[in-house]
Amino acid sequence: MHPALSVIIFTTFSGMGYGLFIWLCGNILNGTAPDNMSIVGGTILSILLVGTGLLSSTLHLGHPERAWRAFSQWRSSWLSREGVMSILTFVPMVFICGQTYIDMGFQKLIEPMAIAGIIGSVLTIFTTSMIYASLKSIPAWHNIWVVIGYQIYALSSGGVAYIMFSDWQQYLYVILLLIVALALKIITWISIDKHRGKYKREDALGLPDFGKAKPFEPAHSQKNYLQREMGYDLDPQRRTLMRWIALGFGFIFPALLLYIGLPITPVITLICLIGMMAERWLFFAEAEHVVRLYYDRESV
Amino acid sequence: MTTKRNSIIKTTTCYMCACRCGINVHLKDGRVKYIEGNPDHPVNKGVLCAKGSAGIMQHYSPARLTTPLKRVGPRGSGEFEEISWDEAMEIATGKLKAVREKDPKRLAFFTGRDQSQALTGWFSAKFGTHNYAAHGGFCSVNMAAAGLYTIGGSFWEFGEPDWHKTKYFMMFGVAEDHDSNPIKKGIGTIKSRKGTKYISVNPVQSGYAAIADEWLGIRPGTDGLFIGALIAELLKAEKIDWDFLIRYTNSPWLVIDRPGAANNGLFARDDAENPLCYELSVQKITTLQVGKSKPALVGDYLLDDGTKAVPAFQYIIQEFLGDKYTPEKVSKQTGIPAHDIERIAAELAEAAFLDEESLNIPWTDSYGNKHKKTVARPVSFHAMRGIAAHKNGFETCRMLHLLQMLLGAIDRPGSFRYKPPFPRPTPPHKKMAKQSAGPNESLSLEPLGFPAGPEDLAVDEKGEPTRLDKAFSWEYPLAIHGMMHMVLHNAWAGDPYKIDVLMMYMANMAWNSSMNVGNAIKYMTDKDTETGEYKIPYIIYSDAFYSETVPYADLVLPDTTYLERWDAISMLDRPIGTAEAAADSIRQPVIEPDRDVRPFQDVVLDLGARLGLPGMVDDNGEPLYPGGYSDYLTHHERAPGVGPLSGWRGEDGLSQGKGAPNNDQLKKYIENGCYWEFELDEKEQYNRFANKAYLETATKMGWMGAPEPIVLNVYNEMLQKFHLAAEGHGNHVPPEHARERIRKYFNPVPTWYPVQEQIDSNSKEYPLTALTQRPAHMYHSWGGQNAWLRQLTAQNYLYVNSRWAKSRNIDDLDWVWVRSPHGEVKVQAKYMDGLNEGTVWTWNAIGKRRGAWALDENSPEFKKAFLLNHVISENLKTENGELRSNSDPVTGQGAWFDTRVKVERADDQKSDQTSPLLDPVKFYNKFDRPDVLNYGFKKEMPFEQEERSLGTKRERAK
Amino acid sequence: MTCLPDKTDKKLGLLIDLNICVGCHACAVNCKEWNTGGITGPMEDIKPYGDDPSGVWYNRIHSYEFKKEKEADRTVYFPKSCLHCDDAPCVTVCPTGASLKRSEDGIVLVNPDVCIGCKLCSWACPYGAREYDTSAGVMQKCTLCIDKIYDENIPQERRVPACVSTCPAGARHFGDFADPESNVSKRAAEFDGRELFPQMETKPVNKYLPPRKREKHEDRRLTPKVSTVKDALLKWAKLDFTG
Repeated sequence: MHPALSVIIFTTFSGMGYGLFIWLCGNILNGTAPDNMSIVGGTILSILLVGTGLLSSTLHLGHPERAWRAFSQWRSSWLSREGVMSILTFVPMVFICGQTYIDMGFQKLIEPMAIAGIIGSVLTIFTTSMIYASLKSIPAWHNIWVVIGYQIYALSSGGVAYIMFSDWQQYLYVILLLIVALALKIITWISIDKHRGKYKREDALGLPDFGKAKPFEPAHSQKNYLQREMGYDLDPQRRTLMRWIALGFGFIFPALLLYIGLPITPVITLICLIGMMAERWLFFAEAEHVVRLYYDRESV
Repeated sequence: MTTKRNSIIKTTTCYMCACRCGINVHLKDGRVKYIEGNPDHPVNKGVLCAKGSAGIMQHYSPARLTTPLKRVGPRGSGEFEEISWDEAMEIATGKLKAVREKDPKRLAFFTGRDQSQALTGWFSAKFGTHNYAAHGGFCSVNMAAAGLYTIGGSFWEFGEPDWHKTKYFMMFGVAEDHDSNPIKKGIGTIKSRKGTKYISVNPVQSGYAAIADEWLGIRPGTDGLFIGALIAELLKAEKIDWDFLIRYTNSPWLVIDRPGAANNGLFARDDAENPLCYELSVQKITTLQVGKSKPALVGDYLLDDGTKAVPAFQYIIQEFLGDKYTPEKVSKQTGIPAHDIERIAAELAEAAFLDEESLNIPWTDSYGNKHKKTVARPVSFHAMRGIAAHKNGFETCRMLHLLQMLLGAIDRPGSFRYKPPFPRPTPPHKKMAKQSAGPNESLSLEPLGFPAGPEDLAVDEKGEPTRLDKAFSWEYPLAIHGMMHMVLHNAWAGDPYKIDVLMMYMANMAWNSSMNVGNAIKYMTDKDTETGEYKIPYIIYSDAFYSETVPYADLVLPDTTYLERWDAISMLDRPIGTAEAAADSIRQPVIEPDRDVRPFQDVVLDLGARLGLPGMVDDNGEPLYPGGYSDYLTHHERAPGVGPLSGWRGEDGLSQGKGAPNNDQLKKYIENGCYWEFELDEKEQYNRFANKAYLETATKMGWMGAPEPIVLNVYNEMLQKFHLAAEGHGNHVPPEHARERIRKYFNPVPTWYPVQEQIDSNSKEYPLTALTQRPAHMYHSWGGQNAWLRQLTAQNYLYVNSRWAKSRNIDDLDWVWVRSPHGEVKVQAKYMDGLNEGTVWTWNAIGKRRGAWALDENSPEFKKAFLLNHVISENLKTENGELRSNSDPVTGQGAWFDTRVKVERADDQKSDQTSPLLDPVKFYNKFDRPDVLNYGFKKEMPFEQEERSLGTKRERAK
Repeated sequence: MTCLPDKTDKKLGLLIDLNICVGCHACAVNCKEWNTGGITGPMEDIKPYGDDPSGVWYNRIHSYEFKKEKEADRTVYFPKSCLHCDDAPCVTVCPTGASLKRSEDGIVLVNPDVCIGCKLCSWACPYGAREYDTSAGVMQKCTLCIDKIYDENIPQERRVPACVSTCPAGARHFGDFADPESNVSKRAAEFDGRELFPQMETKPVNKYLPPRKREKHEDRRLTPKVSTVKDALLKWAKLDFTG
């Protein structure tokens, strides 16, 4: 799949945003919340990350001005559900931020809102992951690792961001989570690599009993939308490089830096975000769409 | 008629290729909205191919010329001045007038894919030049000539397989798409039913070959051997339609067998010129009486004067029962396994003699014999350029017809069937002009026709060619479509003479229509060192688009598109009938031109009037057809009562075929969907070479001079006359230099011989045959710049056999050099499995020249696509060093498919572009060339409202 | 509404006969010209005269060479357009309701007035049936020529999709797959009608007839009655062939 920057920003930024918000809410519920200004700062950053992500996703659209229509089909569409959930989750975010900043007398609602915030965030991340995991046409996405991964990466990257606001409390948990995320990513890649080639060109053609098929004349001599959108060719060297960047920046360096305890948490957060973007870039670039079977792939 | 979406529908005839389908053009808001096949039309019955469907983009092509142009820069520069039609016509008239006053033959008028040859040929005759032809000479004349000289018809417009009844269908060769839609319809018909086998004999398994029940990947140029082997198998097993041979072919005719004599090989005839046979019942030589005689087919007999004579059939035996065509031998040369050849012969025999397929249609033959039923021979064949475009193509095509005759599979139910007005006499009774007219005189005969013997050739008293292209000379005696591919070279070389004006129409001679593009350009740009004038002094060119050839013209006359003009698909030209009916059709303008262009046919008539040519002006010198081509189509009479169009003739419009001109004729055509169809009675649909009822109808309709039967030639006496002439007999003998060729290549019985490239000492160095074909979506069209069609194919590759390529370390998509003795071209190779191992091929005419066709200079057509023409030469050196046209020695057919090459991986794989890249011609573009084209129409209502109005019981899921 | 109807009254679709298709692209181009002026047109052409021409096409003709052990290689032309699936994933993923499957005839459509151009439907479709139109900013796809097949001004027998009426070889058929007696159902049953990519579980309505298997040839030869010129001259001399 073509790794479009808009969608990479959408999922990584919002993932980190929701992850951060979950950390905040969890600590509020746990009674281990940082000071109020940190909560305000953390929720503002969550809102900014999620907002940037959502805005970025509209850049991908042919008609951004019609984006409001995307909330209507929640009964069938994960994308629509994601839209609805993301908007709903703004309620606890804004509430917690506002109430903490200026006590408007709803302090009692903070805890229920934190619960709602966690549920909303988890559901939003889940709906986001399901946009991809529901697509049978993209085997690299159509699996449980995507669903688990989106949650874990959101929590790990959000956790790194949370350190900025929590004065290093619970950083060991974050490191632990980063290690889990790292392991998960590696397992996911092993799984994807293992399952590559499940579908054959002959299946796509409905002619599995005619021997091996190879393309003769292409439908059109120049590339079309389908090939541009879904025919991304990942150079193996580039893949290796990007995998290391993803693992290093997304998980290993943040974990190491956190372990060393360097007081540069914004930098660590940025490193983690870059790592997550590399991870997400690969998420698209490595995912092969079965439509390629009609073009240049024997199997996907 | 209108559609729900308010389009007006007009009928006309397609011209996106040479197939001539009927189309319905939907018009909305003054623009073309949709073009579909006309469901009632005899040619296509509602279907339409990719070309026809892309007509909109052709019509609105930005490469359209908009106004007459006069060259101001050097030739080829593309520097033009826009001029008015008045000025253009004055210039053209002035040039032509001067030629005609001096020597009319110094005008060479060659038209490419012209569908108005009845007009352009007639114009040439009236002008007085016989230097006229269209593109058939470099296309498929071998097929046409072999057919017309053998069975009085051929494939495509001459006849077609009986798609509905055939049980066994064999298709030969690449580039078989001349009859684009009817062939597809026919193959689809065959493939839709069980019990009919379809065999493709084709080096390349693409297109029609892909869906064949069996594919034989034959080595190019060896089809004749394969057919010969089938003939031999059938003969040996006596699986022959003896009755057919005896009655309808000249098999039993006695041939004088007197080697060395002036009449050796000619038919023995009685005093009344009737053929003789050896009558078995009385054991003596008598006049042949078809249906009554019991003639011998074999044996030596003595004529009254003691001369030995043998039945013509005996020569067939001698040719085919020798060891030349044994399956084992043929297998080695064709690459088709011997057991397949043997099996196919057996299958053919089995299918051909399925007598239960015969029809209960009684008929009477021309000799008075009554037949209770119409015997079926449900085996049929089709071939076109694949077997024709070789230097042995004429013989190969003849051999295919011989196979048909031996099986009795001609115009029988299930076999090949003629399309009226065919069959015609072998050859048709139409002689051509032998030389040009004198100053200010006209020809009494047209430039093209059918020589019936050496005496008819267009040669001077020394036996040298009188035509510029040397058609109908001793070098190419049966070049019945002319030899357009030699015109540029000969005009440049002044061989046989120089000309003053070259006028061309719709022929891309500076590019893909010429072998050896580099030379073609040189011929047009070379100057005489003494005078400083161009060697071809003046070039007038008419085309609708800015093709590669336009920049080489001195005067450009912009033509309309096919939707903006009148035209006739005339019975006088290349008719469009079916096996069941005669038909002709018209084109009508369905949309007004938006630029200063004129239909070339109007221009021709105007030029004729300005020159005062007979037939084009009245006694006072006033134009006879002031209304232009439509006026001419209605009122012109070629012979009394015979005009360009056959329908609605007579003052009352009730006559067909012959009749006085009818002022309302075109209106009647339009009312009828722009075509006329004359259906034959069931009894007149078979055995038409000797079908009394049919031949009488044909005579009445003006298709035949008299209702005489047409005897099919297993033995061609006329070719023997040429052979005799080469031996020095008769009053018309070839000059010394041509004798050996005539002696070798003119044989009464078809034979296969290897072409020069196959025996050439170079054949080892150049081991591969290089073929081209055009994709079905561009066949016979000039649609390369078409916005839709170029999306399908904007780049071509050289297809190489995968196994062969791997053995040469050539990878898929590697750049390779294709080299022949004449040139080289760098191309990208692509693997193909379904390809004869000794063959490489590519799509033709995808590669274009930068600057032309209003395409961006970085288009793939310019940088990556290529022409194979660079490695094909129009001239070849023979073994004794003579320069000869790369053409069939009998018909002059351009031998495109004899090209031999070697293919080597290029050292430079990085540059990613083809070579040679010719310098660009100057860009010409008068229309918008949007970066994004949105060809659509204003919406009348929102989508949802319209969608809900479509269909019934509209109810959405809740 | 992007929920799929439980059941459609009809299942209009195409039956494509790979045994007949010669890859001429007539269907693709005729589709293009009808639909660029049709209900969901125009269909854009990007750089139509430029260095990299491409555009929106509802139908594209691929081709493949098949290789099987002990059998001759064969070439197969393969037209591909929307299959109007019963379980169309492209419809259910649509967040706006622009994608719809009609309950009356099963035709899958995109409402260009509502589509936001998120392209997700093209990701969801395993067949590559959906294309993005950069000019309109919306998705485009085969409409089964809904504005042709329901146009009462067009003669009944021509009320079929453009690709069907134009196909020169007759490789395309149009009809109702919900009706077991329809031309397409019967033909599909008789000639082994296939689904594309059944693993995707989209239940495509369109079916494909596979190329007919090439039969194994049994070697046979006509029995020669003569074998040389000399034989023939001897045996056939004075033989009366009219009997």
